[in-house]
Amino acid sequence: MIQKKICLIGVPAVGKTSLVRRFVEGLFSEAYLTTIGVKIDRREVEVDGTAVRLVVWDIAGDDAYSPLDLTYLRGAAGLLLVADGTRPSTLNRALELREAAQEAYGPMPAVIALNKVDLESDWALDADRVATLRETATVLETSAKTGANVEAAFDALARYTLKPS
Amino acid sequence: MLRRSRPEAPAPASPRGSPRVSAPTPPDPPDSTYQSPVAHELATADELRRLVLGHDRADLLDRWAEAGPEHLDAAALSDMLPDAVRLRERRDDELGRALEPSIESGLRVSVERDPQPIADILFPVMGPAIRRAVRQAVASSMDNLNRSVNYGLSWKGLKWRVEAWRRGVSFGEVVLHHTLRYRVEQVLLVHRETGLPLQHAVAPEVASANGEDDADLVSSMLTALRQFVGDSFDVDEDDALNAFQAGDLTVWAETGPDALLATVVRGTPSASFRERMAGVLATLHAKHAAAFDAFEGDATPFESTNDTLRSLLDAEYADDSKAGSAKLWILALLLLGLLGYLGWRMWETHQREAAFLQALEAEPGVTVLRTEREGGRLVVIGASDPLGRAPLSLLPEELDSSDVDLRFVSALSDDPQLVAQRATRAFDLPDGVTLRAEPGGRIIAEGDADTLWAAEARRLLPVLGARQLDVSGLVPALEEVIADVEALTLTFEEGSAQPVGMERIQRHVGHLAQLANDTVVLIIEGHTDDTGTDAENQALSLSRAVSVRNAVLPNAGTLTIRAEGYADTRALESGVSPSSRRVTFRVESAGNRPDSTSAQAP
Repeated sequence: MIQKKICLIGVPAVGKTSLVRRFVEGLFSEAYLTTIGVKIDRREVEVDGTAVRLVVWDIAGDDAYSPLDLTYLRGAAGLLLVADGTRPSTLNRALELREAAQEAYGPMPAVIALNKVDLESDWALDADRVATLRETATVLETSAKTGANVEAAFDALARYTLKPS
Repeated sequence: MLRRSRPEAPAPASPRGSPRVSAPTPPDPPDSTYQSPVAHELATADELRRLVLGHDRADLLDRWAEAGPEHLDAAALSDMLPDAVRLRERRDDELGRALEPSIESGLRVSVERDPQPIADILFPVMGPAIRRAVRQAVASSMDNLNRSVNYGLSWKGLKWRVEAWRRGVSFGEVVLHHTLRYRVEQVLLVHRETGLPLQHAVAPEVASANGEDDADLVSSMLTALRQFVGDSFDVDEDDALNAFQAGDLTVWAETGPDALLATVVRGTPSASFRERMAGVLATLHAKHAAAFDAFEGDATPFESTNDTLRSLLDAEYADDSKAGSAKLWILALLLLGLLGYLGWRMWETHQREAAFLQALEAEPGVTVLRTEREGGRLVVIGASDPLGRAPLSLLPEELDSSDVDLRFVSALSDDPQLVAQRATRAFDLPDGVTLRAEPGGRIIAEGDADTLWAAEARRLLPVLGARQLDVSGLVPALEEVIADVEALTLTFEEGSAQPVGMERIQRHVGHLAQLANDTVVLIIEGHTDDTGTDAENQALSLSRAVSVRNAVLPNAGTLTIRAEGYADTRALESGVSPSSRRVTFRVESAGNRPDSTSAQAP
């Protein structure tokens, strides 16, 4: 089976961990996130009849006190950038992180998950901006709460890891 | 840089050759629009034929076929065939697919006809593998059997059974827990960059709870941990977390340029195991350099490394350490016992030696001058009299001549017993005489014998180690004493009855009395010469006998003595005769006559 390492990155409280919690098979407790800053889970998806095992590195949130440890991104076949749709700044930071990652390890496929789409009333992202973003990247509005688009996000990323866009 | 992001990454699977070609049946070159270079060449040739021969080439081919294969350019085809095969192989696996049925049926035919050639071909491949598998299976079952036998019936086995029952685990697990020195439970080959597992081997005895399924998570987490430790402690990732302990488990990691080899070991492996890991990792790098380079998440090319990884899945069982310590105890006890025994033996030997020396000292004729030790042997230096017992013969049975060295010189002993022995041999002793010696060189002769030998014996005394021979203790025989007494004569002055020089007679009578007591009668006979009257002579002769009797009475003891007067009846000559004026002695056995001391007339 093809295996791919993918990384989940984003600022704290955007729902990264919630996003994967329901969709992955794991061995380690979430305490790892706070101890060593990463928690590893697994998700198997199928891309055009090919089974792909995604080894998901959920990397602890990036903030002023503990900037993202880029070391963990090494060897990643793809990035799932998670932003909070109710906080536009989180998207900016996610894009910055993507740039930092690509600067460190070269271009790598990424899927942008705009999370908390269930919080419609609080949605704060400019539709035009999202549309522009879509031209250069795969952007999915997801909800860890309802599960909307979460599988689609992993599927899309899996596809890219097999066939880099 | 990530290889996967390269734009020139392998192109998506392009459509294979023509649908006809993809069919598993062998292609039919003359009739196909073959796409491979070889096919292309064939197609070109076909086209050429068509141009030259027109559209009726099918007819022509038929005719070629009828004419025989030699008209096909076999030589040219044989030149092209290897290249053609290689070219096609490079493009796709159709040739293999095409040949598969033929090869299969060919093999089947060959095996049906005679399986030996195929068996011979396969033997070098299968033989070692089969042997190894059998060896492993036998070794493993022997191990288990040994352990079961070792621990199944012992006191410890019983204890472990109770423990197993108490903890609710299998007996085997408890035995393992107590006897396992180390067991390599998992071996992971991890791609360094991605942290993805390339190959994973798990010991068959290990429960599959955290088995192969979680290899990806474990290897990724291990990679993350190493990165975390490397970052946190600012050490090179190559050196970070090369070993860590988790309960009973030890995780060892060896880092290579492309891959990480991690082993999960229960217990404490020996240091040489790490060297083996490094060796295995180096081998894997050498053999699979290209595969490491091209790794894009597909671990299939690394399946061949599984055997190599499995070679690291070994286990070492401790010799039962407690049994070992018990053995040690037994050994110590044995040693102690041995020491005790040796000590006792030494003490005993000393006792025996002391007793032996004491016996030597006490032995007549043996003198111990000094003792010493030579290499543990007792050396006794001394002198011994050849007449006495040899010192060696005094050696007790428990000591032999290898324990004791006797260095004795011969010497004449002044031991009284030996002096007496020596004298007895040297003197020509009459029967009935015994000798004894006293300290100071005095030999005392005793017994019933005369003392004629004594004069000769005295001359020998100095050479016998003696100075004096005392024969006073000798008692003559009765007959001799009687004869001596009867030979005695005592003469008197004319007309006198006064005895003179009685000492000798008194001594002889004393002897007689001593020997005979009252068994004999001593008769003292008085005599005169024939001068004078008969009456005077009778009175004088009796008077002479009586006076002698009176003189010897003090020596007579219980002896009966009779005095008798014979006047001149036994005068030795006529006339005045001094020799006839005498007394003579006669001894008779008692009871012949009534006891009397009175003078009797003849």
